Amino acid sequence: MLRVENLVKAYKDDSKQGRVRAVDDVSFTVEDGEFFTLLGPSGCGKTTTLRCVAGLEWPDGGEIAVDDRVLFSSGRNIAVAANDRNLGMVFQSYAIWPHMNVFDNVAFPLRVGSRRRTPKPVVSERVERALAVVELDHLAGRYATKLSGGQQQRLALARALVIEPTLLLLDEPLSNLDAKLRESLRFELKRLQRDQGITTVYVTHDQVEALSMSNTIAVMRDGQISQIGSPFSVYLQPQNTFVADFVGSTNLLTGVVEAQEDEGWRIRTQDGPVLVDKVVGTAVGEPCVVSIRPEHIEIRTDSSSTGGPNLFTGEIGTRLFAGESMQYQVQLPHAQLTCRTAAAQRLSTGKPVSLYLPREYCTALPLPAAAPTAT
Amino acid sequence: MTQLLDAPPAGSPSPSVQAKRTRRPTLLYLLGAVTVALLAYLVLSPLVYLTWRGLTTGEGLSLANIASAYSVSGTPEMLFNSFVFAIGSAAVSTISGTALAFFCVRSNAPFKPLLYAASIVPLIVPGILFTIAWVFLLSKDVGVINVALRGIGLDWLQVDAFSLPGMILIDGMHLSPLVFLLMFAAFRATDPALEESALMSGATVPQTIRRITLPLVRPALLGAILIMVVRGLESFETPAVLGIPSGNWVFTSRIYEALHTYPIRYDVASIYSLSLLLLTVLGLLLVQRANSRGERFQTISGKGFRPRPLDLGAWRWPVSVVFAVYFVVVVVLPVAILLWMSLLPFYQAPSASALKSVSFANYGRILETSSILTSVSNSAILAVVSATAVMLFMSVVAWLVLKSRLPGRRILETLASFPLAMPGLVLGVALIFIYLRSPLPIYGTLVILFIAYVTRYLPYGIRYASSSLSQVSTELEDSARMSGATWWDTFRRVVLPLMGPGIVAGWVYIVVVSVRELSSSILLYSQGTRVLSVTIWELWENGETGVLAAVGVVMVVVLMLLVGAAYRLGAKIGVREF
Repeated sequence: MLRVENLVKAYKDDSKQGRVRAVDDVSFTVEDGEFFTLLGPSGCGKTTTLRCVAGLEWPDGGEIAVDDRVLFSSGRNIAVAANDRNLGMVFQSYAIWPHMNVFDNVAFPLRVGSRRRTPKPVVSERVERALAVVELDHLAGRYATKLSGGQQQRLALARALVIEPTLLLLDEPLSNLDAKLRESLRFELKRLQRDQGITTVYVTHDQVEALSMSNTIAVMRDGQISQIGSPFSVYLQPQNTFVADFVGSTNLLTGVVEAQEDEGWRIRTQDGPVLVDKVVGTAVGEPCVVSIRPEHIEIRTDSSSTGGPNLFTGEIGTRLFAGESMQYQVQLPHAQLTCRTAAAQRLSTGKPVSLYLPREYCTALPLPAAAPTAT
Repeated sequence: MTQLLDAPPAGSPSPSVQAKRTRRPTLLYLLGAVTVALLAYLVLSPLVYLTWRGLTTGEGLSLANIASAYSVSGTPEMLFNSFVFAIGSAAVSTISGTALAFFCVRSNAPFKPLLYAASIVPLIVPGILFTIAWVFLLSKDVGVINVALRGIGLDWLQVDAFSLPGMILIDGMHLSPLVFLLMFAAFRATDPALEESALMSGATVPQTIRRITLPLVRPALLGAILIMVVRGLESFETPAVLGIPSGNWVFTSRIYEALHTYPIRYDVASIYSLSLLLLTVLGLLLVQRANSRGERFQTISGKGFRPRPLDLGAWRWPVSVVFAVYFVVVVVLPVAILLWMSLLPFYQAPSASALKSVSFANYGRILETSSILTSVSNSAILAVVSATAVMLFMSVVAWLVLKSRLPGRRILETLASFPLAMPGLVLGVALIFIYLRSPLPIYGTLVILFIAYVTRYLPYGIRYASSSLSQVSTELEDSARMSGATWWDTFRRVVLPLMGPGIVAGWVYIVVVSVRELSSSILLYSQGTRVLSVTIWELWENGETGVLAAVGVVMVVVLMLLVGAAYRLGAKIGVREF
C-alpha cells in the first residue's frame, strides 16, 4: 500500500554547522487497511515523515510510493505535488476554514483542482455522506467556528474522507482535546477507520493512543525508527531501553549477563541474581540492563519468601495513589524500583517487603549508551 | 510576525531534481521576480533619479549643486527653523499625547471616550484644513481665541499663528493624537504586576511612575519622539500656510518655492530633497534601533490583562477637565470654526450680528463650480484605485514574505516599507525628474498621481496585509493543498478571504489618507488633474475662505463616515473570530 524507502530530510540548523537530519534513512511499509502509527517524542521526525508522505515537504532523498504510484523518488526525479496526491489529511489544529460553513468546508476538496468539475448533485451527495459518517449531518449549515473541539475534529475527518483518499494521514488529531473527549474519540476514530477500511498513517506522541488504536507501531527517535512491530510486541518485547522507557514506563536494573541456562539467562545485578527469558542485543559476559514494567512486579509482605533468584528485599519508600492503582517506590540496597498494584493493597512507608520479578516479564537489553538507535 | 517553523533549506540538494519536481517553484520564482522588479521600480527609481539630478550638472558628476543650493540667502535661518519647528512640534505632541495616554490607560478619570474620539482626528481632519482653521482661531488680530484672551485680560497668553511658536503649537496639536495612540499601546502592554510589586516593595506612587512605569515605556517613548521629529521635518501644510507668509522658511516650504518661482531652481529642489531624505532615513533608522532594543522590555504575555486603574482620588476631576479641554481644542474648535466659516459669505468673527448673514450659499457654490466637482471625482478615483492596487499587490507580497520559501524574500518587505522614510514632497520632486522627460507620456495625467499614491502607501499596505496574514495558520493552507487545491485556488479561496478584514481595513485607511494627500499632489497636479486637497490649497491662496470651509466640512463628514464604516466593517467581519 504505502512504501517509504530510505527517506531523508535535512534542515539547515543555525546553531550548528551544516544541516541536521530531521528524518534519517527511514523505511517502512503500510499494508492495505492497516492502522499504522508513528510514535515518538517531539522532535523525533514523525511529523516531518508524515508531511513528506503528504507532499508538504520535499524530502532530500528516498522514495515514497502508494500502491504502484511513485509519489516521490530522488533517484528517478519524480515529485508529485501535494494537491495531486489524492491523500486525505487531518491536521493537529484541524485547520477548519473559519470563513466557510460546515458544508462548504467538506465540499471544498470537490470544488478545486482536478475535481473542480464535479457536478453539483454529486458534490452535495458526497458531502452529505461524509458528514453522515462522522455524524455531523445535522450541522451542515452552521459556521465552522461555532463547533466544539470534538465536532471540529470530526469535521476535519469528514473533509479528509470526502475525496475517498487512497491513504488517510492523521497528525496528532486528538492532542488538542481534553482527556475525556480524547478517550471517546479514540474509539470513534478506530471504529471509523475499521468500518471504512481505510489505510491510515497516524502520528502521535501519546503511547496510550498508539497502543490502543494501531495495528503496527513504529517508534521513532532522532529521525530514525527505533522499533517496528505490533502494539503487543512493542510493549512486551522492547528492543532497546528507549522503546521500553518511552512506551509505557519501566524499571531498568543494570547488571552483567553471567550465563545462559536451561530456563533462560542469568543476570548478575548488585542486588542479586535475576533470571530472564529474553536477551536482546547483548551476550554472555557483557553488561546489560534488565527491563521490567511496574505492573509486573509482585510485592510480597510475608517474610518467609527470602532469597533465591528474582526475589529482592527492600522497603516501601514513597506511595502515590492514582485512583485505579497504587504506585510504590521500593528502595533496594542498591537500586530503586517502581511497582504498581491494585489500589486495595495499602502498605505504609518504611514497611519491609520482598519483590518478585517474574522472569517471563524480564528482558535484558543492551546498555543505553551502546543501544543501537535503529533496527 | 510569525516565523515559519519549518525553515526551508536554502537551495535544494540536487538541482537536477528541482527542475523536474513541480511547476509550482518555477512559477513562484517568476512571481517573486516580477514582484521584486515592480517594487524596486516604484521605490528605487525616485531615489536614483533624485541622487543623479542632485549630483550631476551639464558637465557630469559634481558637487556644484550642493554649493549653489546651500548658498541661497537665508539658508542658515532655514536650517535653524526646520530643526526648531520639528523638535518643538515633537515636544508639544509627545508631552501632551503621552500624558493623556497614561491617564487614559492607568487612571479612573471619566471622559475617556473623548480621548478615543480625539485620537482619530488626524485621520479625518486633513492637515491643510486643521491649519487653516487655526489661522482663524489664532491669527494675531482677528483670531477668535486671541480676541477672547484680550477680552478677559490675559493678553500675555496670546500666540500668533503666523510665527514659529504658533506653527509649532498648531502642528504639535495636530500630531498629538498620533502619540496618544502609540503610547496608549505601550502603556497597555506593560504588565501592571510590575508596578504593583514596586508598590508592595514600599515605593510611593510618584516613585513607581518615575522608576518603573516610565523606564518600561522608554523605548516606545523614544520611538514616538523620533517619529514625531521626522513628521515635523516632513510636514508641509503648516510651514506652507503659516510659514511662507511670515517668512519662517523650512526645508519643505523652500522646496515648494524653488519649483514655483521663476527661474525654477532644480538644484535647490533636488539638494534640499536629498538632505531632507537623508534626515528622515536617519531618523527612522534610529526608530528601528529603539524598537529592536525595546524588545527586551516587552512584557506582552499574550494573555490579555486588564491594567488596574490608578485611583486619582481628588485629582480625578481636574484630570478629566484637562481631557475635556484637549478634546475641545483639538476636535471641537477647528471643526466648529470651519462650520461657521462655511455658512458666511465672507469671514466675520462669531457674533450675533454675523448670525444674520448665515446661509448655505457656499455649499451651493460647490455644486456650481465644475473645477471643484472635477477634483472631487479625481480624488475619489485616485483613492479607490490606489487603495485597491496597493492592497492586492501587498497581499501577494505579504504572502511571499511570510509563507513562501523564496530566498531573499525579506528584501520585498524592506523595499515595501522604505517609502515610510520618503517625505511626500520629496517623492513629488523625484517623480517630476523621472517623468518630465520620460518617453512615457504620463506627466500631467492622473497616472503620475496614481504612481505617487501607490508608492507612498506601500508601507501601510504591507503592514495591514502581513499582520492579518500572520494570523492565518499555515495548516489552513496545507489542508487546502491536501484537498487538491492548486496554489492559485488556495490563495484565492482560503488565504485572501481569511485576510479579508485586514485587507478591508487597510483599504479604507489608504482611501482616507489618499483623499487627504497634499504634499505629493501639490507638485504633480496639472490643470485637469486637480485633487480635493489641491483645490482647498488654491481656494486658500485665492482667499475664498467660505467655499473652502464648505468643501472642508463636506470632506470631514465624508472622511468621518469612511472611518466609521471601517471600524464597523472590521467589527462585523471580526465577529466570527479568526
